[in-house]
Amino acid sequence: MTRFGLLLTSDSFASQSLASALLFAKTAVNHGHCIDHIFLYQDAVCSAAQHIDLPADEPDLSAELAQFCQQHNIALLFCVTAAEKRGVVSDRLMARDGYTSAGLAEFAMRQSNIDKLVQF
Amino acid sequence: MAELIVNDTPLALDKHGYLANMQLWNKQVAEEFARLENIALTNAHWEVVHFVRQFYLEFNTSPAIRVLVKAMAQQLGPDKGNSKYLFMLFPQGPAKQATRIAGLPKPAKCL
Amino acid sequence: MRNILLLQRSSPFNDGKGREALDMILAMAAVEHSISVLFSADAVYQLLPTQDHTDFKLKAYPRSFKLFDLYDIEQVCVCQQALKQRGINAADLSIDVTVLDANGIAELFARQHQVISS
Repeated sequence: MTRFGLLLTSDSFASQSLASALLFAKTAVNHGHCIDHIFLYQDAVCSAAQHIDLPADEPDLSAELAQFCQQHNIALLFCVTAAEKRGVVSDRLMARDGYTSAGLAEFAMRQSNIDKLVQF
Repeated sequence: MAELIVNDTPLALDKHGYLANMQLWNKQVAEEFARLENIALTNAHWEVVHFVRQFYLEFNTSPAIRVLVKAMAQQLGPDKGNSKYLFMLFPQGPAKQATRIAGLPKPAKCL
Repeated sequence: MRNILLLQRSSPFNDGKGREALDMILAMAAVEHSISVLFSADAVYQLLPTQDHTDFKLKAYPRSFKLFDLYDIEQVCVCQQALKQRGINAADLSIDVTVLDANGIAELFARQHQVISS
């Protein structure tokens, strides 16, 4: 069994990163591996926005990721500073359900818990 | 936008109540911020305020508490470069309060 | 404690990637992982001495690289080929760096537990 950490740094609309990360996470868990955390940084923090609004025929990967992490008890974190810079969250604007605000310090400390970090 | 009035001159503040333009800082501005923070500035406070301002000018960033402690320990010795001493001077958070009094932007909270 | 390499690939003039990578470097170093930084490709431009280049409307964050000492980040490396391709001398860079050729870079990567790129 391998303990993974996942780091997302690209925007989920402009790139395939969130879709790939989700596929990777599901496959890893199905094969008996464990995922300690999924951390959103740089443009990937946009997936933590509460007001994401998609037409019914487009997959809401951000919601799917949150649901997956909840099911499997995986810490789903985003960098609060990167999110505030982009207006994704603020004092008056909460993150989307299932996304937890964290600091880079927490991400840094979690590196000791894992065998491999995979970046998307 | 919020303002700080110093000598009848209004100075713009950012969203977090920090000085919007760090060039406009002077001693009176520091004293006014200290009043808002409920801090009576002593020589020990001024030493830290000047230290963080110098830090900013050199590194172009406001120091988070951990770095502030380390940098002060290197330059001023362990008596001053420890968080107990800094919290005694700035009870609400040394990095947060000292940078505000020094007219600098708020340090990043995630570091 | 982990050996973690932060790989910088982006020019400082186009986006904020290098800026956010710097925050990541400092956060990693603050929790006492053993941190190495490698500047490659257009990221070598981050190492040119800059003051506030206000024309670009970007923060002159490369000035904060002088903090690497304070954070005990000893391994600051730059890709030899990237410098050569851009006609930059290692002596003109704003901080002390170790210049690595392809073999040196391969050895650096082999020592890491984690690699994070920006």
